[in-house]
Amino acid sequence: MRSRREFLVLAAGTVASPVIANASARQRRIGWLTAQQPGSLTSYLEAMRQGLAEQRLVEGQNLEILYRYGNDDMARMPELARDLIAAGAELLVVQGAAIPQVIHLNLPVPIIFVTSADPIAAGFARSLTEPIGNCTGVTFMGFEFLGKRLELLKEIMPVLNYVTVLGNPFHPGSEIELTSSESAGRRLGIAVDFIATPTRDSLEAARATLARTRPNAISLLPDGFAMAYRRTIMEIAGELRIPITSGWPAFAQAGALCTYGPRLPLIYRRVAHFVARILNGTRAADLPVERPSQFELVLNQATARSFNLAFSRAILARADEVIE
Amino acid sequence: MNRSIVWILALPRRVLGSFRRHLSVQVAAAIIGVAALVLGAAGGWSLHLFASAQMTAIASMHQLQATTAAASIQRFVDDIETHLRSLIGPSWTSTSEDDRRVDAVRILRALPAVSTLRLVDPQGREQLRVSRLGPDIAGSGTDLSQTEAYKAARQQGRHVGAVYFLDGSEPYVTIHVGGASDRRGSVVADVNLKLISDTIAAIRIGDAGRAFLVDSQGRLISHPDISLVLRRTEVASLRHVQAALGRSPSGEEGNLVAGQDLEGGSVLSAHALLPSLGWSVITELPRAEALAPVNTAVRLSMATLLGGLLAAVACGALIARAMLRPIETLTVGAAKIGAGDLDHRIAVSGANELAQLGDRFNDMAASLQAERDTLEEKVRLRTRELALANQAKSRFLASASHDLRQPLHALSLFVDELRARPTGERRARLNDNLSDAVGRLNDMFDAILDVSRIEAGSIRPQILRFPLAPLLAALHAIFSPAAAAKGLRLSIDDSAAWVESDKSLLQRILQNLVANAVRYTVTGDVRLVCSEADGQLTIAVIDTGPGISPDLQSEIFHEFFRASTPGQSGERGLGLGLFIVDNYAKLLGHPVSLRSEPDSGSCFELCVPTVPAAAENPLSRPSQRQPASAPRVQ
Repeated sequence: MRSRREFLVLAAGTVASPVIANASARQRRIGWLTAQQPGSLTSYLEAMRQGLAEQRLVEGQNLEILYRYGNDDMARMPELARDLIAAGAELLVVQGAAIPQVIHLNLPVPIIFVTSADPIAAGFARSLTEPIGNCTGVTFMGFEFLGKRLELLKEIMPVLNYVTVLGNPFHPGSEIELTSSESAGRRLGIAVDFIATPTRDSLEAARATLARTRPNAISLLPDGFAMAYRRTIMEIAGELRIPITSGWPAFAQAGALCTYGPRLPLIYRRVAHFVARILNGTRAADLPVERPSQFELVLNQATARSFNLAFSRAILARADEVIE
Repeated sequence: MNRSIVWILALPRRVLGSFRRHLSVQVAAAIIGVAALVLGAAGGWSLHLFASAQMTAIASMHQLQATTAAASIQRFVDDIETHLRSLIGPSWTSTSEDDRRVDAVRILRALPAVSTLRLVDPQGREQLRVSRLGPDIAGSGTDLSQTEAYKAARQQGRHVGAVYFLDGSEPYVTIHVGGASDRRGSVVADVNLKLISDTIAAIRIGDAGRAFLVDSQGRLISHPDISLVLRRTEVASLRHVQAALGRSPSGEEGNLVAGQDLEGGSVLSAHALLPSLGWSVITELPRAEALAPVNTAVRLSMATLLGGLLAAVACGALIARAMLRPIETLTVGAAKIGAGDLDHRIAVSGANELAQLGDRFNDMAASLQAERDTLEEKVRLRTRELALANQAKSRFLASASHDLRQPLHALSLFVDELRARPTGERRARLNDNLSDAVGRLNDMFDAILDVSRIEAGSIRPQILRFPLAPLLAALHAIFSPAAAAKGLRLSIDDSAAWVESDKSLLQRILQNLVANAVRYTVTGDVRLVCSEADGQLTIAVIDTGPGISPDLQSEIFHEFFRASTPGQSGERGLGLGLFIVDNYAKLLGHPVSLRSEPDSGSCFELCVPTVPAAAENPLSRPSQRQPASAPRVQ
């Protein structure tokens, strides 16, 4: 009886499986659009590919990802977006500074944005549950972390009273971030200023400025640009002996004193989840904008030592990872 | 045109009718019907049992899954509470502010779901706040002592607030953990319930089933599809959520709640309450999946039923064929035999009733054939007899006409002589001759008349009791002249016996016997001997004539039989004498027997019943028919 039932199920499966195989064998195509240069986003993309693989969307097998890089040229974003759609992308994953350039174009495909800005303040959504138009996405909540990073830095360096925020001005919501940093600084008794670093060349200008202003620390806005030039930035800071704090563990591994921010793999897993949901027919507007819910604090003990700093018990208790 | 339409319309009924008439169809239909009934009943019953058992199993399993899911959610909250409780030392003052901060930060890191942690001193004032995103604040002194949550936590050790949605999206809950002691502080934690989704998503309900969590108002707290929670999807109106909120039990008596999920699909649902939180875990399993084993069983039963029916059809057809073939053979064979083909034999193999029936048919045909053969033989014999009788009659007519012509011829000669005026002497002789010839003619006609009366069956014997003596005397008187003329000695016994018979018929019998004896005996004597014994009188007529050969003895009593050798006188009778004897003896019931051998004479014996002599008996009057006085020669 039992084996017969199994046989029937198997037989039914044999009939049905080619259909399923066909369905899954269908090649899906999505577009990836960023204003950055290709090298800056490798780790993001890897995290997203892993997330997609978890959703049974494997690049090269049943998924084709079309990559478009703006190479810091914002004006090309709409053209590249249309180019992706013309190439058959069923949806666009748009990162960072490219988002405001394409989100109001009323493109015929859904957009998943990946932003560190406040999506409401940046105009991508009326509320977390109401993204505008045919889009949804995730936010890294970069602005919220600025204050927290200053607070943590102040705990590590109690003498801290002047911090320079280094970042890309095309980063959407930069103003809010700056405002947030300033208000946090006021609360903590720290003066905050801002150096825009839109290009590779501006970094050299920043070096000169920093050498002149000599802040107690640098708060590096974590984005693709910073990621791409993290070694240069570390080099400049090391040279000037200014400790750096930022958002992602990669910066701590590169020599930042500490980083505090969301767990990126989890966020990219959510991006992949959105991709899978939208490819399966869910309306983008039905997917609320998601914020990270898990964060990590990474400390670099070696950097601390080089600055003759010691992490307090409370800071160590808070740390998720301490790099020796 | 119309007729053909009517014919076509009547066709199905006609075909059906012809089917109904066929025994094979009836037998097959009966077998199939019984098989279908048995299979259907058995299949239906076992299916019913299986389905109920399966439903109970599904419901129990489902309920168990819901309970397990509830337990894992409870563990999630309990785990948080345990960690929070570790922050409350035996007394608030036993730990330094710095230690408290380190501990709080450690706990914050250990509990990813907690976004903010507040330590409250025994007086209910907030002394420390650590947060993942917001600022850490020490010694704010915010007074919580008057809040309901704080009071409840002090009384019950724990208070879990109502679920709220941060920025209208993420579900949060605030947990107060405290103690009754005045020296102990308490902890307040804001918990992001979005992190329960991993726990909820990890719960496997069948293949396509899922579990989700609602609070006491039916608001969605956690769901494998977190987007539904973040969008604050309304689920409270769903039937199975209502059932869960109504606290109506599920899983009891194998009952699941039938409802529709958010996509409108039919689902079966179980639920389990987390009593301390007021939340409910609700499971959904697509109805189709839940009932798949039952449906499989139904399909299997159907297949079995169909297979059984096909087998029954095949079986019915085979049995009908096996049964019908001998019956057809029998029908055809019986029809052939009925049509007269008695040589036909029905061949039905086997030893069953049908084969026996075939054998009976064969036996019947055989006996019919034998009967017919006998009948044919009888007909042939009868025909031959008739032909012989006809021949004899023709011969008789020829000889009778010849015999009759003899006296007639003599008469005409005598008449001619009379015309020639003979002399007186001559005339007297002529007169004698004339009466002799007339007497012979009379005898002949009497015999012919007797025979025709016998054949017409018009003779009614008149049985009387009478003395035999007068009859014997008459015989003597009749035959003495003829015997004397031939030189024979005629002796007739005298008898005093009375007999019971028809006088004239008896006289006729004896007269014929004696006449024959006298006619065919050349020399010697003719005797009539009477002997009485046991109430029977045996009258024997014995002669010393040529005798009768044994092969002729049975034929001499037949009509028109005449001995091949005529009497010495050359005269021959008509061949009716013994035929009359035989027939009269049979009419009277007097047995006649013959003993004779060639050259040794013959002896005819007649047995007549005797009766005691009576004096003047009215029945003894002599018969009205007197025997002819003239000697009769036949």
